[in-house]
This record gives sequence, structure tokens and C-alpha cells, in this order.
Amino acid sequence: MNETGTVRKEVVILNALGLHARPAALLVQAVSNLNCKIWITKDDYTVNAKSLMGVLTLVAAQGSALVITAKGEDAQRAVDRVVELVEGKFGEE
Amino acid sequence: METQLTGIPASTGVVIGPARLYHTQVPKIRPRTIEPDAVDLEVERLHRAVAVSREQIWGVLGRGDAQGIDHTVQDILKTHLVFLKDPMLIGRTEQRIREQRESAEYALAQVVGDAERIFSRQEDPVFRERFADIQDVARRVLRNLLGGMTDLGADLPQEQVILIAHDLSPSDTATLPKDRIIGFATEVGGPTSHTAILARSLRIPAVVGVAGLLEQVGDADTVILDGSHGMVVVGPSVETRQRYERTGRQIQADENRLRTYALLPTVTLDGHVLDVSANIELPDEAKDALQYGAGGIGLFRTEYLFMRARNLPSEEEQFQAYRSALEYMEGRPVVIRTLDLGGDKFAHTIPVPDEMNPFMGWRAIRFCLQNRGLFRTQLRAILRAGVYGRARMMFPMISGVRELREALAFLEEVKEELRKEKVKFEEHIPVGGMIELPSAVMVAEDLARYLDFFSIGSNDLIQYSLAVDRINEKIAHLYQPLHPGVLRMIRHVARVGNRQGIPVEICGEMAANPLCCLVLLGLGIERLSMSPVAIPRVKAIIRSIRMDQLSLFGERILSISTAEQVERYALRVARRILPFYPWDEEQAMPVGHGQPPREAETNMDLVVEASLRR
Repeated sequence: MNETGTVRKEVVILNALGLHARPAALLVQAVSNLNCKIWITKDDYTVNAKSLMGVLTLVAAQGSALVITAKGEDAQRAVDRVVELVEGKFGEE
Repeated sequence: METQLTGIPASTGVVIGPARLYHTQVPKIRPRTIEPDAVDLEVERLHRAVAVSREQIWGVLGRGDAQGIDHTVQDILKTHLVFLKDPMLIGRTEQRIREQRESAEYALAQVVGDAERIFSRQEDPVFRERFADIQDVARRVLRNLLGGMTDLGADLPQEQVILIAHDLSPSDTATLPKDRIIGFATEVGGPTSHTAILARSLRIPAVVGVAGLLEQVGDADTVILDGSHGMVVVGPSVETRQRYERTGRQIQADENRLRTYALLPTVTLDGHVLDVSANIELPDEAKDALQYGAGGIGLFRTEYLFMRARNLPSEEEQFQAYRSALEYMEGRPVVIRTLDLGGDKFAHTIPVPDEMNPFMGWRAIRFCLQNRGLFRTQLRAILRAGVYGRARMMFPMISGVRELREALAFLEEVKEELRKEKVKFEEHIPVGGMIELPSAVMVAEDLARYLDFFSIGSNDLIQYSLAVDRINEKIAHLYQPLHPGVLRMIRHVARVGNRQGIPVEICGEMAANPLCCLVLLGLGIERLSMSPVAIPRVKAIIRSIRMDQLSLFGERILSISTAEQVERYALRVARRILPFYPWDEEQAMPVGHGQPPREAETNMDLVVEASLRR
């Protein structure tokens, strides 16, 4: 945690098919009710992690490196949830 | 005035009935500026339409399985619920209403347009396909905004109709009153589109990809839908109608007559026991297979489990599907082919293939070997299901030994995993390979050492060896199952199988054609697999011939140098050894894309010729 409650974490997509529909939906659902803003950045493209449309446009295939940034009361919790999903390969395989 | 339209045959059968147009497309929305003091009201209107959309979806989901809605469709609808809360979709629409003072409809259409631009740039079709969901959900909201348009079903008349649409999305089909629809025709889509698969599972005819359909058909017009030939006849003349009715009756009569053969053993007059099995796409079709007298399932295409779903089917879902097919078949062999899917086939909602040459592209075993996670899941499901019947596993599109060894090594790895996990599975599952590439024919001897059986995929083998894409009308006449090149390859594979002591099956459409079937038997193929409905006819033929009449026939055919001559010769022999077979009634068979059924007095040669090229 650094300035004004901003949490940042880098993750690598591990599941074979990447952030396709189901994982993307899981991710969005995991964070959408939390009290924070959260973004995902791939290369220099950033999207709102509470937007399924946004997350899908990342086209994060297996091996993609993503930076998760969250700000607000639940920032840490939100980032933790995303990391857990990504590392757990979204329950696939 | 009668109008004939042609499309792609997607589900067989002929029906005549009133058309019912279903407009899935939203009318063009013109920009409209909102007065500053009406902005809040407009935003509220948007949210109300979103709320109504959510209620509609919950309504469908609430009915859930009771209405027989596929769980994959349920998943899609759940995704739609997520989109209805999406800040990029709904949030941005609201922002546009407030900042640009656009109407809710126009703002939403603009946001969807922006999304389309982003998604159309994606190279990966799996991601690009997601845009279809956004369009689908946006269409629902727009319909609710525009008012007066309800879900399909609510406004369908009580009578039975032929449904005419541009395209049907999974959420459209989820709400279809299936008991009131006797056929489908759509403007877009291919044989694996959602509509096509739905129609086949409902066993009603469908024609897809009919250009200009919506301009030609009006509500309540009488329409003949011929799903076997890909024809839609609007406002048929009395003669056309009678011809189709006659054809329908004849198909029925033929079927009844042939059904009597279905359950008799598949044995020739001189006591040769042959095998006629069924090709299926969904586990439930195993029931049809049994009804039509299949000795087993020669080809269970697993693609449809994957294509029906937007998400990959889990190990458990696949396990259940394979297990139920095995259980239906009660100990008869079931050949489960591993995924024969490629980059292009994942994206069935996108008409444009992504590879320049998808048939030679990243598909089948090549795809699976590079997607080990997905492959592992399928192999585990097949191995586990194998306990519940006589399962066989088959790899598609094998090009040579190296690839086969790689697949087999992986299979061993997966087995070892299951052993370690102490999961029950079929340890000794027989493994076969599809022989559908010319290279596989040439190295069949080497492949045989690793395999328990061969299955000749004649559709692809013909396509690859003659270099003919049969979808291409200009060269469709070159797609010749009886081409000597093809026949000699089949003969070679049969001989190799015989020498190495492994069975050889053929599972292409060729096997179901009475004339080709005789030729195949002559070439030494004793196992045929085909669509269930074709089985009784082939059984009837087998039960009426002697194998010794065919041995010389096979040898002679191999010395003929053109497909046309093979055909003429085969027909002559066929008439001699099977004089009582109704060769002259053959027009009841599918003839080919876009050709109407012929009159009963049609010249036999023409019919056979045409049916061979279908």
C-alpha cells in the first residue's frame, strides 16, 4: 500500500484460454460490489475492472502480464480477490 | 408468385406452413437531442429499460430447467445480467445522455458502435465473439426502450409456424415456444450456427444462410422449407406444393418400409456379418441410433458439446455426456472422437474465417496438442466415462507417426494422473486414428502399429486428396467420392488394416450412399458409420447381397481410370446383383445443395450422379 490507499499488483494470466468470457465475468463479479475503484492495465491500455466489456477488450491471453490498480476503502480486498482468481486459474483445469 | 430461395441445409426434413417473421434486428436509430430539462427523465427511461431487461432475463432463468433451457444458454443469460450493470455499457450510455443530450436509444447505439470497433480489431476470435453478447443484450434494452416489441414467443400465434429471422441468438432461442415452431430459416449462419444445432436437436428442418430471405417472405406467407436440400419456396404453386407433398409421403413410405430392416442383423446372404453404426453429435441421438438399428456409434463428434457452449464444457459436463451416450448404447461400441475443432470453428457467430485456409489450419489434433489443458480435460472425461460401456477413443486428422505418438504419450500421462488420483477409469480403452489426410494413407502401415483401429473420414479425405472445397459451387462437381484416386487410397487402408489385424471403418457421408456403399464393400470395407436415418437402407442392401458377388467387382473397379466410368460400371453391377432395389426411386435421397427434388420419372443416371456429388 502506498500513497492515499492505492494498491498495485502485477499478475500473469495462467489459465490456458486467458481472460475469456467466464473468467472475465468472475473477475468483474468479484470486485463489482466492493467500495473502491479498480483498473487493469495491459501494456499501456487501462480498463475499469468492474466493466465486463472493458475486461474483455484487454484480450489477456495466457502469459499476459497485467497490472491491477485499486483505490479506496476496499482496494486491498479487491486486489487480493483478483490475485486469488488469477493464481487459481479461475478454477479451470 | 412462387419464389425459390436457396441456402445451406442445416437440419433435414420438409415442412409446409405459414411463415412468421421475427425481427431480431433493431430499426435504424436516428439522432435525437434531448431538452436540458428532460435529461433526468431520459436517464430514468434508460434505467427503466435496463430494469425491464433484467426482469425478462430473470424470468427466463427462473423458469430454468423446467423449460428445458440448456445450462449453456443459462450461462449466456447470466453474462447478459453482468453486462446490464456494466459501467462501460450502461454507465457510458448514461454519460452520453447527460453530456451530449442524446436520446437513450441513440446513446446506447453509439456506445455499442464504439464497442464493435474495439472488438472487431481483436485478432482472437474467442474474444471477438464476445461482442455478440453485447449486441444481444443491447438489442434487448433497445427493444424495451422502443416499446411495443416483446420477447419472441409472447406474440407468436397459437398455430404452428415456420420461423423466419435474420439470425437467432441463444437468448432468442431460450425463449422460443418450441412446440409452435415447425421449422427455421435464417438469413445468416452456417451448418454449425446456433439455429442449426437447435433445429437438429429439436428434429425440425432448418435452412440457414438464405440471402435476401427477409425481403422475400412476408408474415403468414405459405412457405415450403426443405431442410434436406437447403431450399425455401415462398408462395409455392399448386404443382410445387403437390410435388413436395408427394416427396414427403414418399420419404415417409420409404422410411416405414426400411424401418422393418432396422432391427435385423447386418448380415449378407452368404453369411458375412458386417457392421453398420451411427454418427452422432449429441448424446441423445444415441436413442435414434438404436431405433434405426445401429450396431454401435462409429463416430461421436464431440465438437457440438463445445460449440453449443460459450464457455468450455467442464470435465464433469463432458463426462456426463459421454457416459449417457455409452449407457444408451448398452454395451455396444461407442467411438468418441476427440475435439475436431479449429480456430475458426470456435467463433461460430463470426461468419468470416480467420485463417486464410482454415481446413488446413490450426484444428483438430493440432489444436489439442497445443491446448493441453483443454485436451487433458476431454481425455479425462472420456477415460472416466469409459467405465460405463464399450468406449473407444479416436484422434482426428492424424498426419503421421510423430503426431500420433505425441497424442498417445499425452494419453498415457493423463492415465497416470488418474491412477495417482485413484479415479476410476477405463484403463484399456481402444484407441483409433482418423485416416483423412493423404499422408496418413501413405503411412498407414506405420500408424497401424500404434492403433487399435482406423476410421476413414471420407469427407475430408476426398476434400484433401482432390483439393476440392465442396462448399465452392464452381468446383463442387469435382468433389467425386468415386474418383479412382480416392478409391485406391481406401483400398490401401483396407489392406493395411487387414494385414495388421485392425478393423477399418468408414464414417463419411459416402458410406450412406447405396451405390458408394456397394463400392466400399467391394473394396473390403466391412464397417460403415453414417447418420442414423440412413442405416435401415444400407442394412436392407447388405441383407440382399452376397459378398462373393463383390470381390471381383472391387478388383475391377480399381482398374478404371475415371470417376464417371466407375459410376457407370458400379451402377450396372448394382442393378445386376440387386435387381429388386428401387434404384429408380432414388430421388427421395438428398440430391445436393439448392436442388429441388426431382420428379419420379427422372433418369436414374442423373439421380445417382447427383447424389454422388452431394
